[in-house]
Formats: sequence, C-alpha cells, structure tokens
Amino acid sequence: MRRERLTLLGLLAVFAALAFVPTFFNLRFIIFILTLTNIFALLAVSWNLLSGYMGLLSLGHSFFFAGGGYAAAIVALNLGIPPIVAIFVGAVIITGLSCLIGLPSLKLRGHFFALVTLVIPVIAYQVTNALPQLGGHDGIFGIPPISTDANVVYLISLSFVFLGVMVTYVVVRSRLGIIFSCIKDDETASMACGIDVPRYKLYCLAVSVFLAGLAGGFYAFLNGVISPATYELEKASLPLLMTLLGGRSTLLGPVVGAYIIETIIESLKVEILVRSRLLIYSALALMIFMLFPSGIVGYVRRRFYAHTED
Amino acid sequence: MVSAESLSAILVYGFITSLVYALYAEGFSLIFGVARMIDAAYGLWYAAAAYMAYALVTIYNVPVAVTAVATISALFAAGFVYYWGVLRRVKEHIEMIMTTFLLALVIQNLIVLFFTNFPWSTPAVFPGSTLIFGISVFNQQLAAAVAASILLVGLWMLIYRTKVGLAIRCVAQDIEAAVCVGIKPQNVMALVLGLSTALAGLASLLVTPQSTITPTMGWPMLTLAFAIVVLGGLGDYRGTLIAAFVIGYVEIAVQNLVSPLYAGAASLIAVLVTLWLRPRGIFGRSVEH
Repeated sequence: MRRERLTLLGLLAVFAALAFVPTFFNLRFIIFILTLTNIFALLAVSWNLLSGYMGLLSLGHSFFFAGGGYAAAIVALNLGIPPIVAIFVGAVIITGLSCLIGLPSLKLRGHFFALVTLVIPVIAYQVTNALPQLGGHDGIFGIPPISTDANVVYLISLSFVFLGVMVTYVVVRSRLGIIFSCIKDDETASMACGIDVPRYKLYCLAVSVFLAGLAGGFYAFLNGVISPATYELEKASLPLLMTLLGGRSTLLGPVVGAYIIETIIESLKVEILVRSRLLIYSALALMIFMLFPSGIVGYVRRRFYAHTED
Repeated sequence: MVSAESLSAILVYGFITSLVYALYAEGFSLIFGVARMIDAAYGLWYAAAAYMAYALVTIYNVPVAVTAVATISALFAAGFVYYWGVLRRVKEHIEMIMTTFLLALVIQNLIVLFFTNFPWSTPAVFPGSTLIFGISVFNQQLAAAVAASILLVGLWMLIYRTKVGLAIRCVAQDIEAAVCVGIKPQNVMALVLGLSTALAGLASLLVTPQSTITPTMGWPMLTLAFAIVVLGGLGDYRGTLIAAFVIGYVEIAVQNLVSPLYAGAASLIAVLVTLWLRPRGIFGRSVEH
C-alpha cells in the first residue's frame, strides 16, 4: 500500500515539475520540442501497454498513429468541430478500424501478429498514397492549430501523456491487468483457467490504439499537415526504441525513454549525427535489449526495491 | 476488355517477376522451415547486397563477375556470423523478432550513414532489350529470369538430392532425431542462415541493376517474403514456389490493369485474407494454436 502511494506521489511530482519548469522559462523552441516529445511519449506509452504489458509485439504502431492523425484531420476539416474533440473522435475512429483489422490477427500466434502489424502500415501507406480523397501523396494541409499559445498546447500535450500513464496505471492495477500478465506469461495456461484470450487481447489492442490515435491526432494538429510519410518505419520504431530504453512493462519507462531519445536527437544536431541519429539509437536499443532487458526504469526500480523483490 | 498486348505483358513480366520472388522467398522459407526462426532483418540483407555491389562496381570499378562473387560470399559469411553471434542465443519468437528488427534498423542506418538517404540509380549489367511475344523486355530482366531459374533448380538439387540437403531436411523434421543420427543441428542452422542471406543477396543482384536503390528498399521486400511464405505454407519448397508465382502474377496484373499504385497493396491484402481464412497457407503447417 505504501509503495503504491509512493509511486503515485512520484508520478504527480514528475508531471508537476514538467508542467511548471518549461512554461516558467518560456522558450518557444524548447516548448515546441517538448510538445513533440510528449506526443512520442504518449505513443510509447501506448506501445508499452500492448507490447510491454500484454506481450503482443507491434511493429506497426505508425499505422495507429498516422491513422489517428488522418481521422482527426478529416473530421476537423469536414465537420468543423473543435480540435480537442476532433482528436478524440479521430482516436475512436481508428480504434474501431484497427479492431476490425485486428480481430482476425489476434487469433494467430504472437509472432505472426507481429508480422501482420509490420505489413499493415505498408498497405495503408500505398492506399493513402493512391487515394486523392485522403490527399494522396501530399497529404492533408491546413489543419487548424489547437491553440495559438504554445504554452497551452504544451500543457495539453502533457496532460495527454498524464492521461496515458494514468490509463496504463489503472488498467495494470485492475483485474484486467492481472489477466493481461497471465496471457503474457502463458497463453495456454490462461485459456485453461477459462480466460477468453482473444477477447482480452482485443481489449488491450483497443486501449493501446486509442492512446496511439490520440498521439497521432495531436501530431496532425501540431504540424498542421499530415502526409503518408507518417506511416514510415521511423514512426513505428520510435516507440519501440523509446520503451526499450526506458524499460518495458514499467509505468514511466516509455516517458523517460522518449525524453532521453528526443534530447539526444535535438542536442546532436550536427550534420553527420543527424544522418546517423537513428543508427545511434537503434544500436543503443539493441544493446540495451540484449544486455539490459529491463531498461533504465526497470534497473532503477530493482535497485530501489531490491529488498522487497527477492 | 483486356487487350492481347497487355495480356502478354502480364504473362511475360509476371513470369520474370515471379521467378525472382521465388528465389528470394525460398531463403526466408528455409530459415523458417529448418531453423524455426523469423528473420525480420531478411529484407535488409537484400538492401545490403545491393549497396555493396553498387559501391564495388561504381566507386571502386571492380569487374561485375568479381563483384557478384564477393558480394555473395560476404553475405554467406554474414549469415554465419549472424547465426553464431546473434540468433543462437535467442530462443523465444517474440524476442527473436524484436532482436532481428532492431538489427535491421542498425543495418539500414549504417547504409544511410555511408550512402545517405538519397536514392542511387544503378547501371545495367546487360544493356539493351529483346522482343518476346511482342513485348520489349530489358536484357537485364531476361538475364535475371534465366539466372533465377538455374539457381532455383540448383537449390532444389541441393536440398533434395545431396547429403547436405538430407541433413537440412532432417533438422527441419526433428532436431533430436537429427542429433541421434550424428548431425550437428547448430552447424546445419548456421549453414541455412548463410544460404538464406546468400539467396537474398542473389535475388538482389539479379533485380537491382538498372533500377534505383534506397536504404529502405528492404522493408517492402521483407513483407513480400513474409507474404509469399505465409501463402505457401511456412517452410515448404513447393508451396513457396507456387505462392511466389501467385503473388508475382497478382502484382503484375494489378499493376497493368488497375494502377501501379495498388500493386503492392493488392498482394499484401491477398495474404492477410489467406492468413485469416486459412492460416496454414496453400500447403504446409498451421500457424494457429
């Protein structure tokens, strides 16, 4: 019980610091970068829920991300509803679509699900590229900004990340979370216990896609444009790299990873390093994955709670 | 109505494309069937071979034949190292996909580091074109088709008519029984990994001259290999061959009759539907529980 309260307090402290410190300094460039970081942190949180806690490896999170962005942009431009509402509506739309696609794939064994998720963004990219209704190769322009004040946008993005972390926290602490970890540990045994495995996988997929869709919608509104390039592999691999770095199956791991990777990207803006930035962090993630499978937060947690675990 | 010209174009180009796809997918199928591994970096071997050959030919002016031999042997060696260094330690499938996926990203970004993201166009090895059934075909593509058929027959001979092939098939069937009759499964698997990366490299060398190469060219090829192997029933030589022809003809037909924009999407959707309706593919074993 004490540990739980400690975790919650720590969470609140981290988010309060993140909310006050950058707005206090009021540097537009840094605020923009941090807003972008928050979006990717939310994407990583969403990946972590599906692939970290549930063990369903997704290599196609860019589909949920870009899909959410497209849905939100189309809804906002055609119906004229406020951006925040449009983001949520877009996320709901992409959740429904992904569940339809995911339903048959969830019956497959885990590693085939992973390969299916690798295929789906490729299809989505080609279809979006070919459909003039979706803006074709150029994408959709002129998406209105959420707010003209950069600080407000930053705070909204931070509250989205907070929402994502809290959703993960609530889900993982509930009965649902126990079922998820059962399925992750042993699918056959969970089926023998009477758990309807595909149904719970679908629940997890839906929550994860919803969060990724939120991130995508926010991304579209932040940039004012969304194009098929959003489906590219970099967007699919970023949440994976961030979460592996920060720590899989930990609450704050994806957020920590996102902040570290974005800091690396932004502080290493030298010509040769820009080209090799993905190399640097994919090599980093590979090393961490092979040598240090629990990531930074996992490592800290083990040091911190060493006496309660063994 | 389909005109006679576009019909013969589909027939000829479909045949050439399918042969190369078959050669390429057999490598993926071998890894899956024998080593029970899924190599998410498979497309990147393809890209790596293309870039290596490109660098050797255009930058260092190495003769084409030497380049081909050097590239293939380098990839074969890379497959060996890949098995002993990385894949042997990973047992679980999810971990394996994650590791190979990360490795693929590393290779891709190494390519970006050396050659930049800029697409390079590659010179033709066999310039000119020939008329077949009233269709003008680049000599390059003809050479690719001929070489791919010879290599496919060679691969079949290797797997079904030699002692090494017997050992490979033995490990694919039952690893413990293979150990009992004196086969070292790890050596066989390393050989299979080497063969598969070499096949990816061969396919790449056949296709990439007279086209453009980009660092991300491997990913569509990975999904293609996955598509063919799933459709053909995982790890089955005959099934993979037939599936390669199905996918190749579907792609070329859609490209000619509907729009080139949909070519890739059509074949991938066909595969997703197969996976959902009949997860064991046309032949072969099940991928469901």
